[in-house]
Amino acid sequence: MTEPSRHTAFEDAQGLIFGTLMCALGLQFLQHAGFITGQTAGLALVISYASGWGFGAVFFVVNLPFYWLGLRRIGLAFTVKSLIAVSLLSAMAALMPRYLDFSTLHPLLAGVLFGFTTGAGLLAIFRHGGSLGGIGIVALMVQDRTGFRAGWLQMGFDAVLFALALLWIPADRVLWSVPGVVILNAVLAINHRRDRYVAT
Amino acid sequence: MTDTTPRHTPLEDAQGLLVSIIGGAFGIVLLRTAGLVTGGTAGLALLISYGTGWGFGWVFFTVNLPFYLFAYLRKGPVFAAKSFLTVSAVSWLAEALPAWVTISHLHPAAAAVLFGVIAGVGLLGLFRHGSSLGGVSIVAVILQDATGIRAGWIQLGWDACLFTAALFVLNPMQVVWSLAGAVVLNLVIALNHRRDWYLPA
Repeated sequence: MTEPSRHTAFEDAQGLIFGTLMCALGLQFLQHAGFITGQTAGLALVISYASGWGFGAVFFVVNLPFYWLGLRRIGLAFTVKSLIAVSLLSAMAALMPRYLDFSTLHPLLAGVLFGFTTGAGLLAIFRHGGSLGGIGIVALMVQDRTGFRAGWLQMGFDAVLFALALLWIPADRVLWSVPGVVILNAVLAINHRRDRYVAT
Repeated sequence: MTDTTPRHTPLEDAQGLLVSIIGGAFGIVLLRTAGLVTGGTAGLALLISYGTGWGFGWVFFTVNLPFYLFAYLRKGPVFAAKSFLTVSAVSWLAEALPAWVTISHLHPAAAAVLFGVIAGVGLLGLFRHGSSLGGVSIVAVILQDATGIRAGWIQLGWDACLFTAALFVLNPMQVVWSLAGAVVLNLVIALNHRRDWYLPA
């Protein structure tokens, strides 16, 4: 049995850049349709819709408290990579509407495209030792300690967030947001397995 | 030595192919919106589609038909059947998507980069789940066995001819952005498609 290979810094960099690009594209579908999602991104979207502030800045600020937890519980490399991924996504989410906009987008397709692009993006970020901050740190910590899949734990947080979102966002938007979140978490639950993708 | 390679269940393969098919089809939508091409049989189909006005889906489906025979001979029935399924689904979805999503504004640089990333991730998923989007590479390998000409050169030659032909159909900047997209796509695959990183067959 040989040692599992390690990613070089360059390989991690491309993984984080491609991953955040996919997530930023996923957010374009979501914001055009007026949907929310789970995690700190969902929290940032609810705040952004309710206050009119830009998502990128809110997302960056919402994640700030979690780096301390990441540093204490997981380590420096993970925390730095998470900070980089969150910052990249904040910047890309703010810039992307200048380069890409939709005139029509079916709500079901918005959910499907969001779920698949962001699911694949997060998978890449996780496999390259980062996260998109917040709940992902807590969920990954739990998976590494107990084996309970991070995907299922995140779904619990999302259920609470969606219930609270009904206070500020029309019920049909919240309901239409569900398929995307289910697809996103299914992609993670099925595919994020340390026994299969072994490089670290 | 015993075979300890982990295997995907059929359901896991199905979700892998589904995600990849949607990624591939959306990548094609991005290219068509910006009027860009790419390499391989998808590039040939786009070029024919731009030149003749025929829909991309049918052209892509037809262009790939001869390939399945080579795929069957070289890589076996499972790979050939998965590839047929994948190409058919992408052909259909690339035609169906515009009824559900229309892009009103797309910078050609964004089209190139986002295509490269989303189609690169899609192809990575296809390869890891034992499928492909048809194509030139298997024919190139068979030609290498028959003639001794390296498969890599045959493939490069194919794409060089394709991009040269594109100069007669597209404006030069579109060809340049198409090249950028193809570079991003191939970077994603070159850096990430490694059997020592992702184990299951």
